[in-house]
Amino acid sequence: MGLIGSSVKRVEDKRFLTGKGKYTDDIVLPGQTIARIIRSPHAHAKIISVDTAAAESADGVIAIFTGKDLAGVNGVPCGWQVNFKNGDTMKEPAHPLLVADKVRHVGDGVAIVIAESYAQAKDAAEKIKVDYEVLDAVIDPRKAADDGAPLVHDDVPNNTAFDWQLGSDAGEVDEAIRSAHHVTTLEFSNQRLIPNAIEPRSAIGHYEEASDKFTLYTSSQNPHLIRLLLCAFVLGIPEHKVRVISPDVGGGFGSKIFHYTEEALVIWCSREINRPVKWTAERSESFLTDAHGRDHISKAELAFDADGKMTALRVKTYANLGGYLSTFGPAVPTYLYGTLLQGLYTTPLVNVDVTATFTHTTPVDAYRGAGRPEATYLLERLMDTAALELGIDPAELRFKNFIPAFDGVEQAGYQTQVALQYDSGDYQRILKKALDKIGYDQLRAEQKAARDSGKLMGIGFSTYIEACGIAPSAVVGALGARAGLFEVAQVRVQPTGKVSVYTGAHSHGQGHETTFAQIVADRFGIALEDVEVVHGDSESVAFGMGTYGSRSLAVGGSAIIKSIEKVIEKGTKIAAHKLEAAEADIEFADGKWSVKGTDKSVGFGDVSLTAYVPHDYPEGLEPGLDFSSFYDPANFTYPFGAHIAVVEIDKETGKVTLKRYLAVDDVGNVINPMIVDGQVHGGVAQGIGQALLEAAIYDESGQLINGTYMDYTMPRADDLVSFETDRTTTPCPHNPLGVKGAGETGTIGSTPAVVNAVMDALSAYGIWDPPMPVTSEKVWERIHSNGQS
Amino acid sequence: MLAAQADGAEIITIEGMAQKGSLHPIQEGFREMHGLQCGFCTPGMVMTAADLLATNSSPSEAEIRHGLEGNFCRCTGYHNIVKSIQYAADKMQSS
Repeated sequence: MGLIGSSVKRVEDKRFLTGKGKYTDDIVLPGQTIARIIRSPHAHAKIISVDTAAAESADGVIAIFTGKDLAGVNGVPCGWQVNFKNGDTMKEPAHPLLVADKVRHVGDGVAIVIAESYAQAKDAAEKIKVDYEVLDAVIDPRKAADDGAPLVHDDVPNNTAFDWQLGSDAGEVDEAIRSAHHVTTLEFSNQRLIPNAIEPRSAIGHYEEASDKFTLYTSSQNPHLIRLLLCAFVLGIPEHKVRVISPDVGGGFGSKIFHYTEEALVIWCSREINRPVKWTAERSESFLTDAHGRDHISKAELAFDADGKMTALRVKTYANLGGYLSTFGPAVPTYLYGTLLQGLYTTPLVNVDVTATFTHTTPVDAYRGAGRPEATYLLERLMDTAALELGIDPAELRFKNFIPAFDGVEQAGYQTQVALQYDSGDYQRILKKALDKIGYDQLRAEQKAARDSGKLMGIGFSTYIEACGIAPSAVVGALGARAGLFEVAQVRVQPTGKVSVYTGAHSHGQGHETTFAQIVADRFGIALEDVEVVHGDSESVAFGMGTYGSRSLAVGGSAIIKSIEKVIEKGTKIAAHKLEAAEADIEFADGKWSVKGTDKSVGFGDVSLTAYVPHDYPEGLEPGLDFSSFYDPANFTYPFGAHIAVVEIDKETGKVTLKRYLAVDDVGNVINPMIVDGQVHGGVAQGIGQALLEAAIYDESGQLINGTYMDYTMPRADDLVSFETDRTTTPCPHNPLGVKGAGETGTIGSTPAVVNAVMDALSAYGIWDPPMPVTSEKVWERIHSNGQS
Repeated sequence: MLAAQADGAEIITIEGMAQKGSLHPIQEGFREMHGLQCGFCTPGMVMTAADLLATNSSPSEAEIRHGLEGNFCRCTGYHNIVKSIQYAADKMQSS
């Protein structure tokens, strides 16, 4: 009924707008206790002793456990194995639930105290005395690899978890760069960020002795994966004895993908004390213990011939993994990063070399975009810098180097130098649309007028591609993933023709309850209100891999389509019987099965009822109308886009003001444009945050010195403008909805566009690589260090 | 604000905004303009908007953005929150 492609208002909104959202910390179980974790104030220190005596006799205390009490318990595992260049497996030191020997970052857990109330747990925690021998720390991922650097794990030489290389023959790349007409070189960091989901992480462990069963409530993006890791790798509990529920989740942006120590701790403690145990992070704990993002130091060289054609790209990156390997930590600076360095361009030679090191900092893992923003930043900063150096318009330089259009059907997918095969794309079209939409010629004229009157105005570009719809299991398995990355969907048609959909994808703001219902209602020709989407509970949803990597629609939506098709196929048999016609003569459309060429038909509700009241029914056909499907994608999906940022800079203060921001994205077919636009807005804001405002800053001793909302400058409403958005549509050729995913495009595209705009605005002072975040102070110094104003 | 500072004051929370099952125009604005995603910051945003519109019934975009500077949202980039409040302001003025 035309629901696909329509900006249907969200069905989940009413509960959130009336204060009825239910997040993990809102759950109060009978007999619930409260846990508080005692965390290291040092980045690197030996634990000499832990004295819990005073705390044990404090009011309300039920139990205290230290690292020694958990000596026989496994730590949390890593879900992705990357091998050294020489074939050795990566270094994979244990990540204990509580540490007993030495702490490896500020915030590392040392003990847990469980009490009747939050205040009692907090008071008792202050009575626990930990004696530390403080050691030197290393923070910088490049210095960590130096001989003699303090070791995070004593058995990991040079703190190097692995080194890794991908792409063209290194010798050929070296030669192409040596003999190039022009080489643009940049050396910069892609700074560490803190995801900052507004809902702090929370977990409740509930052991029920009578049934010997466990329930874990956790603010997670993928409850089934947590159950798998918790049961099979950490606690050795049979999976059928564990139910994991992720109720409403208040944002994740990657940080709630991972299996955290606290999830296993509350389950383990609940069994020990035989009562439910709840832990909820305080904001400062979130800053210290949610996995961080980015944190690369790179040198990148891009070679051109005399015609402005790119001939080779060489990249060396040091990636900071933090104190331990987080669940997908090793995948981010490798297979989610190096594989994207082809960008939208025909560069014939690309080589990337990565050294990934441990440091005395919070573990680093996927944060919105995960590797792809780092790759895009590097490539797109090189492009605008090269354009300035070569005196070519940055749009023109891109047109010279774009991969020609291909639809993945008539024309084959595009094989890159860095392992991926792009599905479909038309990159010329999208940049042209962006130029038209922003009024590029007019904008350059305005810029010239501004400059003539002494003002600083800049225009920055970013044309990006990303790999999402994660992921074909066999491909990622060959690359080191220790899990399949399919998705699961059950479509249960109830006897009355109402439909329940159980999806392994998990919404933490993306609006699955609406988008998935649109798909089902559209295909069945029924009302949106007749579809209910269920997610986030391992007991009701058979299995699932969760939501990250812009996969929910491309993978989870495709699984729903498979189940829908099975329903329609079985319904056709039932309808043929009812209509006394051959199956081949039956067609399904607009909510009814009809005999082709006649006015004989039977409705969706009739067939549903017949399936459950099978009195007059096809012989040999099972009753019921309820199908489950696993969908494993054939390839990644490859959204792409062209973003343009316009900034003005105040010479007196160095303040960068965003004047316009245009995002033209191609995410394939769109189910709900309103929701897709919302995803783009949020992503763009986060990317602008990285460009201009945000950074996690550690001092040399390993203290996070801006771990509060007062100090970590997340974008506020008055830091941003209203965004302009548009789309082109290049359907994905390999999934049934033709969709590519929209969750990360904004974050990937926006950061380089904004920094490029700053560089462009300041080009009168020479070509400058603005270090992120590009604060007023840095800009002011740049302006004034040249003796000009 | 400390609880004692609210002594004698009328306190309205998100739970008190909808009347007899029909959403307040601000709540309606957030739904119509997709001003929320994960929903966690939403009660704060709606109540801040109520306070803003109580003192300025027809705020400009800049005034709305300034009025929201005490609230964080990590999902929406604020774009549609601004639109939601504009929607509510229009609706409240015309009613």
